[in-house]
Order: sequence, then C-alpha cells, then structure tokens
Amino acid sequence: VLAERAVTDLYDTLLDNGALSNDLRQVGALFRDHHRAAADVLTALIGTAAPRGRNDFVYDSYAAAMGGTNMSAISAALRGVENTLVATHLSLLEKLEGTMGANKIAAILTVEARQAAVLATLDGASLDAALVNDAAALTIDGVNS
Amino acid sequence: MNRMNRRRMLGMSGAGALAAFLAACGKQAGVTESANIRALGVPAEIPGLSTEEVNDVVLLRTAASLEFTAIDAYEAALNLGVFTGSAAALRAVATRMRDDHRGHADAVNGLVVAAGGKAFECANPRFNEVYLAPALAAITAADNADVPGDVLALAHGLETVAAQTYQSVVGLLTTPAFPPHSANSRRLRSHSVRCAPMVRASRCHSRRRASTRSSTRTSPAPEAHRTAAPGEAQHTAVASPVDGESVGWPRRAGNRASRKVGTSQDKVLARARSGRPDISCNRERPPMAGFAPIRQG
Repeated sequence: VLAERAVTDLYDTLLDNGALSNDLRQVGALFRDHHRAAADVLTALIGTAAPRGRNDFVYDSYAAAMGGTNMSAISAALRGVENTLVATHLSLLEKLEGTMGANKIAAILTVEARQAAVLATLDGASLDAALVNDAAALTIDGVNS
Repeated sequence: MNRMNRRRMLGMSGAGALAAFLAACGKQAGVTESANIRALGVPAEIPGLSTEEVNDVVLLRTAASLEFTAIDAYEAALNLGVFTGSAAALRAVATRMRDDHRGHADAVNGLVVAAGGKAFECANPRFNEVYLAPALAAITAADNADVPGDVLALAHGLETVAAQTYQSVVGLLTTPAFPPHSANSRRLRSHSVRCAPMVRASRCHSRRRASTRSSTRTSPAPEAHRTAAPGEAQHTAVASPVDGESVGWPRRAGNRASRKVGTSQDKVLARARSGRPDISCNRERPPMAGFAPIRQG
C-alpha cells in the first residue's frame, strides 16, 4: 500500500512538472490512476489496520528524475519503479496464504508489468529491457519504513 | 342380486381403486428404475457430477498446454513467411516470443513434476480446435489482405489468454510456492503479461508502417497496456483444465504451506473432462503444421 501511494505521488510530481506532451500526459495520468486504484484495493483488503501515508524510501529514490526534463531519465526511472513494484508483488505472492489477497496482488501485478513493458516500448528500448525484470523486490522493512 | 346392494357396490369399487393405485406406485416387471424423482412425463436424466479433482497438477498442466499452443502458433506464423518487407523486424520479435514460451513450458512442466504429476508437452487440444485452427485458417485465406497484421492480432490474443489464465490460476493453486521452481512459477507469469503489450505495440507499429489505412493513433501505449473494463468483451482465461491424470490425484504430504482455499480439497472444484484417457500427443508433427507458407504479392 505504501509503495503504491509513493508511486502515485511520483506520477503526480511528473504530471505537475509539465515536461510531458499531451499524449504522454494521458499515459502518465492513466498509470497514476492504476496505482491509486491498487492502493485503494489493498487498503480495503487490509481494513482498519491499513497503513497511512507513503513509502518515503521509494518516493525519494525516484523523485529527482520526475522533476527533470530528460525524457530518457524519466522513462528509465518509471520503468525502474514499475519493475520494483512488480518484483515486490511477485515476492509477496509466495508468502500470502489467503487466496483473496493473492488474487488482488496478481491482478495488480498484471497491470504494472504491462506498464513497465509499455514504458520500455515508448522509450525505444530493447526487447530485453521490456521483457526482463532485473529489479529487486522491496524488503518488508523497506515497505514499512 | 338382492345381496349386491348399493352400499356393497361402492365398497367394492373403493377397494378396486386402491388396488389400482398401489399397483401404479409399485415396481413393474421389465421396467428399469429411474434415479430421478418420480414425476409425470419423462424428465431428462440428471447428469452426475464429475468425480475428478482439479488440483494443482491439473491447473499447471493446463498452463503448460497453453505454452505449447503459443509455441506452435509462433512456429506456424514464422513458417508462413509473412514477416518480410516492412514486417521483417517482427520476425525477431516472434522468434523471441516463441523461445520465451519454450522456457516457460519447461518451467511449468518442472512445477508439474515437482507436484508429483506428469509433464504435458502438447498444445491444448480444445483451444486449438475452437480457436487457433479456425483463426489460422482465416488468416491464411486467399482474400486476406493484411496477413502480418492479423498474425500479430492473433499473437496478442494468445498472450492475453495466457496471462489471464496464469492470473486466474494464482488464486486456485493450493500451494503458494513450489520448490524448486518457486521463483520461476511467478516470474514466468509476469513475463507472459509483458508479451501481450509488446505484441500489441508491434502490431501498431507494423500497421502504421505498412497499412494504407488511416489511423489517428499516435502512441501505442494506451491501447497496448489497457485491461478490459467490467462487462467489456475480452479474452478470457482457459477454463477447461487439461486432465488425463489419474482421478483422485494423491496430494503430496510434507511441510509445504497450503493456501486456505474455500472448498474442501476432496470436493470437485470445477468441471473436468471425466472419463477421458490420458491425452497423448506427438510433438514430431505440431497441430499447426498443415498451414503452408504464404506468397506475398
């Protein structure tokens, strides 16, 4: 939940930056909405025990790139954060015992993996960059920090 | 005659009616008893529930069958000879996708064996019959003017079906992690998910370059990654599991963590094809081998 909120804020920062063309702004807004929906779904699943706020480690790691105008750097940063979330969700899938949580995570994972592939395509990156995820999953401490 | 008065006549007729009623309700010689509740007319026989258990092995074998379906489809597409000219770059993409699916099939079958099952190394016969073969027949029809575009549309559909099947299987598997391929089992799913937008994007690029159709699309991204809204027509996950393993597959005892699925493990989770023998296949001749190369004008 915290990581999803951090990425939502990252996309907000990027959209406020004004560096994107109209087409890319639509893509960015759509991706941001997906992350916001993911955070909402997970929050609803956890209930009153859901954490508040965002993961500052994730936000601070990528915020600088979102404020710039270098499109390659922005695209690489977005791809990195999407891949990190995908890796994190993959690691969570193995640990979850309940099927409801697993189903939600699997659905979120699907969308975010596609977003990473699309970002690589937009950037003109290689097939490997689009299809292979080398990002490391966030640790439990990192997610809760 | 004097002794057969009106009261006696009525009494005798009542006894006769009772005897006829009891005879109608009783068993009759030469008539097979129906398991149905007794009713007027001839009701349809009640079909019995399948006694097969759709367990992790069945789900994984189904996933493996889809991987081989994708392998065969890409193989068929590559053999059609349509990736020429402006679509030449797509040959590398199709080759890469085919090779990735081969890796996925090996990984999934590794999970099948790890779960105590028998590897499934053929394309999904039902999927081939109702979807792939008719689609390829339509694509290779003589009057098709955009074969490369339709091949990519087919590939996009296959990748989407594979991804959604994996997604649906996640919640059905009772074992969250399969040693020793636990990492692969989830990562290959993520990989399949990525293939669909990649193929979709390739399709968009291809059509922009090669097609004479006008298009207002400026970026492949929104359409390439989007998922269907509720109620919107969309590719669905393959619902019919590939069975063929022995009925009542023994669950492996051990220290694996088990998901808390809602249905008791000895109950039927889904309708399976009961009574069918083990599905055999011959990889020497893939099901799609009959489609000949197309000569591009």
